[in-house]
Amino acid sequence: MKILEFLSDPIIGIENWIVQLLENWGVATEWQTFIVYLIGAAILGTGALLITLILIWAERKIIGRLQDRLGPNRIGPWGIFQPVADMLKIFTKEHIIPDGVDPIPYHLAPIISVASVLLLWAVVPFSDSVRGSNLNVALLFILGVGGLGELGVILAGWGSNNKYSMLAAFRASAQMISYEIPMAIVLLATVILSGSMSLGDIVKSQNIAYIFFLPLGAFIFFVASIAENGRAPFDLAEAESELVAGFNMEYSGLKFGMFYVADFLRAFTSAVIFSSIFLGGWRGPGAEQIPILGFVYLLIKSVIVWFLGVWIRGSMPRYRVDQMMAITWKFLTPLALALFIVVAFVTKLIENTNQWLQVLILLVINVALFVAGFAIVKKFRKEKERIVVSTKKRVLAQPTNPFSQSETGG
Amino acid sequence: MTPLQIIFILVALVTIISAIFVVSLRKIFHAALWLIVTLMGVAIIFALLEASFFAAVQILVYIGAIAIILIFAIMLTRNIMSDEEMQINRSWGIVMLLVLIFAVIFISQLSSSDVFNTTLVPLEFQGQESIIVLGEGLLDPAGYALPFELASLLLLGALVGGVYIAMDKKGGENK
Repeated sequence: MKILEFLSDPIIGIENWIVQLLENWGVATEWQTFIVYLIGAAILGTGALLITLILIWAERKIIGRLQDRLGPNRIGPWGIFQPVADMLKIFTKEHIIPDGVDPIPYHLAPIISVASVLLLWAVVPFSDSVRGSNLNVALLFILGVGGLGELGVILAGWGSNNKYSMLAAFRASAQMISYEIPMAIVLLATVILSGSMSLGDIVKSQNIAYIFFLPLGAFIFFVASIAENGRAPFDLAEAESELVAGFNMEYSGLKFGMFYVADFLRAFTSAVIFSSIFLGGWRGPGAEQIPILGFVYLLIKSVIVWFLGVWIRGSMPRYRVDQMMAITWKFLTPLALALFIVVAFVTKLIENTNQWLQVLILLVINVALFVAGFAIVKKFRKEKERIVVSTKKRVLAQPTNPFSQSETGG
Repeated sequence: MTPLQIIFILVALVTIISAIFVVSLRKIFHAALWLIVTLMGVAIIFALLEASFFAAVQILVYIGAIAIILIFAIMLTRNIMSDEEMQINRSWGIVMLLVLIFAVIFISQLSSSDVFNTTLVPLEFQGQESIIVLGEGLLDPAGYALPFELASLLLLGALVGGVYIAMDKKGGENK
């Protein structure tokens, strides 16, 4: 019986055991909390980074299948140890520091990039009792930490002393700043519904998942989070035909590896946050009695959302810069603002009605707004403009006239 | 000493040292970076005081928006990597004297103030309550509704002014 009890909530069990141990050693209460939190943070961070190994393998495998390839398949069964081999290789690679870099930003950027992703895990509730911190401003924290990610990108672009890195950093940070706005507005709408900015409370208040209240909001948040992560179809910060390899071009070895890890981990982290805000997080049948089930539910929901992201990444072409900007400023942001205003009014009006009725009304409103938004966009869509770039006439070098001279002397 | 005190001392030291770097470094871009460290330190101090809303807003607004805009402005207006300015001009001596005089006056007046005898008490609010109380205070007519709205008016004025300056006044060429 004792074992079953432990297995149903192992994290709290271990925490109690450590606290007991420290108490027996005569550690003061404040230091007990400090040490337990330190251990928790270390385990959470390491765990999140280790998940990335599996994520990288899974993503390469899925994208491979989507593109009718096999993906990694040499090392271990189904190539499952490929990321381990890649990691070992990247550890042993030479670390090249180009001439003329600005040392502080150059060396700081990868650290900030990884840290800005790992910080997000501090506010995710894994079950009713297990979470890093029940911060009462978790949503603001998520947005603020996103700002730190931008900082990492800008530092990398600047510090590298390379104009292509710099251009890519400008692009990437403009994209991240722009897509933060619809994201923040949608988050405000969820705050109105739950009456709280803490992720723990938001998850708890979802007797019906918020995706049914705010399907349009969930859509906007999902698109914005893909763009925020800089993944396809919004991966134009690393368009190899225009910008070589993006803001991390001058990085090699382990530092490049850190950007790489941050990229893959950020995709999964935003899936975790999406499922916490819109899909009910750890909630599910029996999750309150057996907290370990909460982990499983959260993991399943996150993996589904993450898979959607990978699916989109594997199947959509890249947007142009102006299209990317138009999507956020001319479509997502006005739509999010309209949604926010309507939701604020309507939730106040139907505050005391049955919850299912609320869901129905908000669902109808969301769908109506979505259709109206698309109709407006369609109405004002211009015909494709074709700009003539050059009118210079050239004589083709054809086999029939190999010695003919063109006007330009070619 | 409790862990909180140790963290406070470390963070306060980092904040002060980076604030000194902000005004003493030659490269203006590095000064902007150290400013971010300073702002981060202030955010952590807010967090230590259990003012989590202010900590989050400090990061979101000051680091996420203002510092980024500052960096953009520096990057777009100055020569990359080779911008070195002197921090002092010819009148540094007299300014130093004035600052010293004012510092003496301020310190002598402030040290007798009873601000330094206050002790911190933990907040009674749990979870969301502190934010709800803050929001009500800001929007309550008996509270700070007027200054709050005035500040938003000021920001709107700045926004309109910015748009006006950036606007193409002749209204022709690139349309």
